[in-house]
Amino acid sequence: MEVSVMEDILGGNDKIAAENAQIFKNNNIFALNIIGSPGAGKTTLLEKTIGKLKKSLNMAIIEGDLFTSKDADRIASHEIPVIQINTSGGCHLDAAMVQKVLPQLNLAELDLVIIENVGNLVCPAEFNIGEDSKAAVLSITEGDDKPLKYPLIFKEAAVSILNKVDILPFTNFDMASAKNDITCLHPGIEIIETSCQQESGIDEWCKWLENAVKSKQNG
Amino acid sequence: MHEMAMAEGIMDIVKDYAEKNNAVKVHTISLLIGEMTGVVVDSLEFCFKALSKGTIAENAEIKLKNVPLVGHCNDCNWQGHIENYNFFCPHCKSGHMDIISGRELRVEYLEVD
Amino acid sequence: MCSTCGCSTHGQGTQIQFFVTGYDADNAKAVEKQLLGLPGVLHVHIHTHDGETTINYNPSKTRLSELTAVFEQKGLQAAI
Repeated sequence: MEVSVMEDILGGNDKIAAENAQIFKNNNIFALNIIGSPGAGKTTLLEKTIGKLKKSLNMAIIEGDLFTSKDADRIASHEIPVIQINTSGGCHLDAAMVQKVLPQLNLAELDLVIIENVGNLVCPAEFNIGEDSKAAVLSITEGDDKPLKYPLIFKEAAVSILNKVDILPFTNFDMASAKNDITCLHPGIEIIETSCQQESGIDEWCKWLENAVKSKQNG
Repeated sequence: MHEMAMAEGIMDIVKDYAEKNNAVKVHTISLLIGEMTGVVVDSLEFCFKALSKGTIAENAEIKLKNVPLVGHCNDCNWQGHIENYNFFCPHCKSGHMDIISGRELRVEYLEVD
Repeated sequence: MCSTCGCSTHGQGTQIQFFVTGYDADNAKAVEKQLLGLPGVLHVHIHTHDGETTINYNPSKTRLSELTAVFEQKGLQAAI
């Protein structure tokens, strides 16, 4: 017998991502997908964020890595619900991986779920996991030429965080040039300069997050 | 293109629909492949053959339907096949062309038992 | 998908090449900036001297007509 299908071959991930988005919506949760190279400072930034926001927002973190639970262990020490997903070689989180762990969270009680993606500036940009927004983290040591080399993530992200600005004096990173390139790729994107070591820009970043959660919850 | 990723996508859809319809064997898989997708047919068939071994879709025939690259001119309403990837309207020479079809990558139907 | 980087959900960008007449140093830079700012456009390369303009973009995010509109707005002629 003939079975009519009419399904996009590469649509599998998007369908599951849409389901995840609905789950977040039903529970009034703002979901953020943080993307950046290995060593950009994603986990440290999250630790600082938790320090500032855990009193005012109910948050949970989903960590994505190939192997180890090192990042989840760091987050767990801050007494926030955290789940580690190990991809065992996969270079990005996909919607199915995230959907599998959502039942482990007490979604009804959460305001904010941050998903720290696998360290990678390329592949995670291609795959929606049901998030409300993506954040692109670029550190000073990676070089000011990276936005044009990895345009997709800067186009996809609602906010770009330029991290480790305390090291600027020791590098040839041209801040104006990097910001100009990012803005060319994505007119209107929010750019926030941070240093986790010196705790600068963290308040600005947390304000952005709080506003995002508020907007989501006010519908 | 990424024929292996596509073969996996096809396999997922086939398994899903076969299960939903209580099928025991898949004989034919009909695909709609747009002209502009750049799919290498031999590569896709090879990848799918490898993936479907030992599954309900082993030895299934893959039928490919090519969907032509058709454009529509927003200035003069001309609509037709785009030749040589030339996206200027052959009628009025304007560049305001939209792609109507030719980008599809879809499983159209299955023949199952 | 993407087991060891077969990546990409819908194919990595389409490349299209225009030959543009009327470039000068200023408008070429302006065209590059405007094109790059469009949602689906990933890469733009312009040869100001002979007008060769290569664009890598995702047609499901940006229409071809939006690309050609950028040249028109600047009073430039673009041919394929």
